[in-house]
Amino acid sequence: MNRLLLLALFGLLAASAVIAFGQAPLWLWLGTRGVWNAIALGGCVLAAAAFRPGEYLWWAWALNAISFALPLLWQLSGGIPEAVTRGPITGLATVVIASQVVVNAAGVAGAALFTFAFLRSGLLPGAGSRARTAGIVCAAAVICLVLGVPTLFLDLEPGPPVARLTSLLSLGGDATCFVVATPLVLIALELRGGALAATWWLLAASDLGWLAYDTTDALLGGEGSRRAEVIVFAVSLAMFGAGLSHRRAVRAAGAGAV
Amino acid sequence: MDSPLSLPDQIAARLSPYLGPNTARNAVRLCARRALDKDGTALAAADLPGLTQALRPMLRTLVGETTTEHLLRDLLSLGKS
Repeated sequence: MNRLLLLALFGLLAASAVIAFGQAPLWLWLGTRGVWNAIALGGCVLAAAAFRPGEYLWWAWALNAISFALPLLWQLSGGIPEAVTRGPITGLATVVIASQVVVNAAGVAGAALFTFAFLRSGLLPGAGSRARTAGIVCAAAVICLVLGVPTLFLDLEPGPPVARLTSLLSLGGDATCFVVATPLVLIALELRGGALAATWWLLAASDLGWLAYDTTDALLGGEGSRRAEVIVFAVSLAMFGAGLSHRRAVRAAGAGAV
Repeated sequence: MDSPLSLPDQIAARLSPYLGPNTARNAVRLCARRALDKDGTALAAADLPGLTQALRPMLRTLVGETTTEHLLRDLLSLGKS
C-alpha cells in the first residue's frame, strides 16, 4: 500500500473514531459505517479481480465481498429499523435474520478457503516447529474463550428475540471464523519474507477484530455500541489491506516485479 | 558468467519474493521429492519441466493461473541460461 493511501486511510479511521465517540447525527453515523463497508468491499473486489472467476482464491474473495456487501445494502437502505430488531420474528425481521445468516456463512467460508489454500497447495503450515504451532493454537483457544464466553452469556440474557438471535448468529459466525482462521497466523509465519505474508497477517487480524467487536459491543451495549464500531472500521481497513496486498503480490509475481 | 547459486537455490530465489524464503525452499524440496523422487539439492536442468509441473497446482492456488504460467516460464528459462 503506498504511503499516501495508508496515511489517508488512517486519517479517515481517526475521523471515524471521533464521529463514533461524539454525538454525530444519525446520517453521518450511517454514512461513516457505509464508507468503511465500501472500503472493505473494494479491497475484496480488487483482490478477486486479480484472479480468473472460479479460481480457488477468487471464491474466497468473492465470499468475503458478500459478507461486506449485504451490510452495505442495509446501510444504503437507511439501516435496519429499530422497530424490527425489537419486534417479533415476522416479516422484515426474517429477512434481517436470513441476511445475517448469509453474511456470517460467507465470512466463515471465506476464512476457511484462505486457511485451506495452504493445505491445498500441498504445503503444511507450522511444519518447522511443533511448539510454535501448539502455542499459537492454545493462544487462539484462550482468546476465543475469554472474548466469546462472556459475550455468549450477555446474548442469552432476556431481550428482544430478533436482536438476540442476530447477535448470537454474529457471535457464532465470528467465533467460528476466528477458530477456522487461527491457522492463518501459522500460514503468515510460513510465508514470512514473501509478499503474500501481509495478506494472511491482515486476514488473521481482521478475524480477531470481529470477535473483539462482538465482545465490546455486548459489554458496552445501547449507546456504547457506536463506540464499539470503531473496531469494525479497523477490521474493514485490515480487510482492504489484505485485498490490496494480495492483488499487488499476484500482479507483481506476474510481472516479475517484487 | 555462471550463477554462484545451485539450480534448486535459483528456483527458490525466484519464488522467494512471493512465498518467502522458507516456503520457497520447502516447495522446491517437496515437489522434487514428489514428482522426481529426488532430494531438493540435486536437481539438473533436465528436471525443470517435471519440477514446474509439480509446482503448478501449489502456485495456481496461491497466485492464480495467469501469474503461475508466467512464473513457471521464468523458472523454465533457468535451464536455458
